[in-house]
Amino acid sequence: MAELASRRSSHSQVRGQRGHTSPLGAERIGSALLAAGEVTQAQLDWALGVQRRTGSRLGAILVAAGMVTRLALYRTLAAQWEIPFVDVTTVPLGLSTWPHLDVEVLARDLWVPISKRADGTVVVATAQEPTPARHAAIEAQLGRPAVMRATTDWDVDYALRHLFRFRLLDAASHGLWRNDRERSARTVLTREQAAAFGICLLVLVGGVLAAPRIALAAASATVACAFMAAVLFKFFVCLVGAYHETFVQVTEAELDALSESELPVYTILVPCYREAAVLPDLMRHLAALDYPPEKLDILLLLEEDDQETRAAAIAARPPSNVKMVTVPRGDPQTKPKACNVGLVFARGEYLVIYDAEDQPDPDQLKRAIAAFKKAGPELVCVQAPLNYFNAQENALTRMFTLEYSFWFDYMLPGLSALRLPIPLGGTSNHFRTDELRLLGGWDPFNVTEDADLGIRAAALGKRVGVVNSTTFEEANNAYRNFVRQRSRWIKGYVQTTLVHLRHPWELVRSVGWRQAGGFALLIAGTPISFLAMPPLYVLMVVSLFLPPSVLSAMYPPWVLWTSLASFLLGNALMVYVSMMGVFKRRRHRLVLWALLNPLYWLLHAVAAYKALGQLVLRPHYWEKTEHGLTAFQSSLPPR
Amino acid sequence: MASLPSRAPFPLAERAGRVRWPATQGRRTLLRLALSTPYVGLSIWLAAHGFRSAQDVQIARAARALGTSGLSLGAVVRTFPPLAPLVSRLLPGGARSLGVVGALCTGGTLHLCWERLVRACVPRWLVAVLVGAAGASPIFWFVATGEPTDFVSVALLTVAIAGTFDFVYLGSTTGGYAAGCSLALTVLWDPGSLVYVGGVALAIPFLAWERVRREPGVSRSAVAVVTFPTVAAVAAWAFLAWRFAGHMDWSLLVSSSTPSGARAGALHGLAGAATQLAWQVCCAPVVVIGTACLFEHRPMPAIGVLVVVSSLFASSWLALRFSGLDGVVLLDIVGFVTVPAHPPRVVAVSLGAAAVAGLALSVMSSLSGGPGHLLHALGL
Repeated sequence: MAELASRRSSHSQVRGQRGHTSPLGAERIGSALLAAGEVTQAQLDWALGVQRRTGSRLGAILVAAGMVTRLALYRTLAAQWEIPFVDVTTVPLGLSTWPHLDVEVLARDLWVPISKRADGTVVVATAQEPTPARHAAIEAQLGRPAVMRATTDWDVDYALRHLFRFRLLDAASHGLWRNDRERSARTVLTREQAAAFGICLLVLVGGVLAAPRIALAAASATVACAFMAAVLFKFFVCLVGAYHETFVQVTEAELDALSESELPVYTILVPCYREAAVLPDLMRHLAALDYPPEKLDILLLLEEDDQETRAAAIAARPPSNVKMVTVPRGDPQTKPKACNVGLVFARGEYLVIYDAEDQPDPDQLKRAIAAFKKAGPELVCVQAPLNYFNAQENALTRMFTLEYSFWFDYMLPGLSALRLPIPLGGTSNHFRTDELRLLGGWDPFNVTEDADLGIRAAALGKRVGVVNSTTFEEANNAYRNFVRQRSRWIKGYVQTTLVHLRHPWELVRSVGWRQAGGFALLIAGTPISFLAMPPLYVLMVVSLFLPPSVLSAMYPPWVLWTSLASFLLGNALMVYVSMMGVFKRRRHRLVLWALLNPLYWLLHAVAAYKALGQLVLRPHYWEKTEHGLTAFQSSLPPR
Repeated sequence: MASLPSRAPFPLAERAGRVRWPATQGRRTLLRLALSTPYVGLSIWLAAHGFRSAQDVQIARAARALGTSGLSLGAVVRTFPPLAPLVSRLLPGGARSLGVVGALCTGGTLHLCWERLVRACVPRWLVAVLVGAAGASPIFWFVATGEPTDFVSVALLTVAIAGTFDFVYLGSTTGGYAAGCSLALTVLWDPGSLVYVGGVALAIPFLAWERVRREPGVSRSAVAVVTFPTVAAVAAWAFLAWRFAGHMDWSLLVSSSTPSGARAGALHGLAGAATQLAWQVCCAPVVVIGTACLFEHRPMPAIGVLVVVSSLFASSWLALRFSGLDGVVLLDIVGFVTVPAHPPRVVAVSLGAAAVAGLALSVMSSLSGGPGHLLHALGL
């Protein structure tokens, strides 16, 4: 009922790209609204002026401006279409008896069968003009005669969510698994992978029992080399990213060249679970976006059992283009599952995900569109860099900022320049919506569904790029919260590695050696480098107290030297790229904090071992990151 | 990314400042190879005729000390700097191959200078005169082919100094990476370069003078970024040497075991270093004109250049392995960094004349000393 309340409390709506778009249609609906006393002549003149500039629908403009309510608009349209208006919230909605109907198609075409009459005819509620051709098409799909009723587009969505609840839930949770099991993380280890791990374990145990000295040396050398390879790869990619820093993905001139009339509808998905604290800020940040409001299709994805966030969302009095979508309860209760539900109801040509605490640059959507236009159809996603507004809050937020600065300002541009797979980062991923559907949406069993999606896109021959517009977030300022978040990320990287290396030769064949190698070094290398930190630290401390002559009883000197050199060089390189990242961001007070990176990585190591344990015990468990803990106001730092 | 300063552009033109030249990587590589070809040829010829500099002999000795059959871990970690002896030990042909490595670096160095001038929108005739004079200088030829290990240091310092300018002045972090990594490599190649790391670090606050008002803390953070790789490299190597060998061998730091410079007496060393610096500046007058132009518009960055130049004095006074001839080559290249963008005609003519005068002076100076021996070896 709360959803109903929020739906009714909204004064406007955004949808309706189809139907009554012609100037003639605009005049008709404008005149009808004027005649019904819903708008004044001045308001109508203003809206017609906006329509000439943006090409948007007149009704959408009036609703977005709060001049007309959604209900009034559709009641007026119903009169024009000469069919009765139906308020679907007053109709008892059972579960669907239409197994052959596709929810996504219904949502796209804006109609829903709401009841069956005794004579066999079906009552269909639609938010599009039921022309004879359309009426016939609907009847053909139903296989029965239909009587048409008008309703709002939000009511269509509402009815679809109720009628097709279980199908929606199943598609969001198991869609990818059903369609492409090999790319789903629902199965953690395949039989072959389990066998390979078993053999490795046996060899290790056998080695330790039979020749402990050799086994220890071999293990140490392997750990050191893997650590070094992962770090050197990151450093190399950062150098490439720095080399391309003069390349501006979207220039100011290209941005200015975008006319408002060619801007398409943009869907914004905001998964909100236990985010009541940050919702007022979210509304403020979404309202600040420089984009025609009537072309924004904002979906707040609210979990069914999260009444607190729902209440906060209603209390925040969301702008007219924000729609609340209830995500049906069911396992796995993860962000990607919520996003998959949102994807069904997304009506934008492009789609972006923001977290509830995000503060995107106001022109980010326009920049993303310009980037898509510039790059051509093979680019399916662009990632906007993330950074933090509360960097100066404590040591942890400073380290977080150092890390994000190098990751998003050097690593991702470097990966993009090298045409290597890009693991998307949680939020501010902009997609072509149709391509996202073709990719299969997000994997709800992968706890870094974003990274997985970027890699899946690369594996399917698509390209992911970056765009020069920043989203500011709230850095984690609590250590336990940090470990929880990181353990999820690291577990997700391991899941992604296991999924995409199920058939390594196939991966190599489909994307080539270079891309497959880049994937292995980045996605597999990241958890490995964190897992390698504690043994290397122990070795370092031991070597401080015991001279190599004593250690040589256990370690061949070259192995010891290689391990220590890897530890020192690897940490130095990561300190250096972290320094450079914040220098580029002009956060000069943070530069020397980079020296603490080796300790920061120790914290990552704690999270990595926790992730490893969880991968075995609770592979699909989503460790929730608490937001809204910062005492800092989200004002923009220097860019 | 930092915005460009609003006043007269220096040292790179505002629009062209960030564009690579030639545009493609392939063309740049070809140009570098073409530029280095004559030097590589001479280097091979000299090696074939048994010409070996004192530095080569010193490095060869250090390379042999790394082990006869395989590399000895203790010897490797004890040797500082490790890179030159290791390269010499690992390359086929041993120390002689270093000559080819040094000669190959000429292409990169000359291209870097050439590219900077193009990006500074300097007239083509002046580019030809400046690059031609630098490349034709017998001192340049001698250092590139006769003292290859030193030339590698010079080449790396060139990259470091140019990178520091780009980094601090233009906010290009590519320049920062280039500067930091080059300085660290230089010190691992020739520990005498530590003086130049100090010089660059001291110069940064002056180069960043105008940015400080807009970005408080930029000097300190720029110094940290540029010097960190060097500090980390030396500290890591020192730790490994201490753990595995007990001490570090610094014998490659100085040019000879005979006391000279400050080691022969502080005052005596001062006079000698001052005389040498004066001679070096005379042989590289482009840096004088460039710094003067810079001083007219931006006195503080000009002082930064002088601080870098004064590193030559310190190096000479401390009698480090860097020779006087190496200093001339380095000054020549620092001169390229200071050439103003869009130079007025008077400045352009002055720079051209200075380059020609520098070339003449270097020819005259070359009639004796190391280059003289080289000319004699060539039968000239």
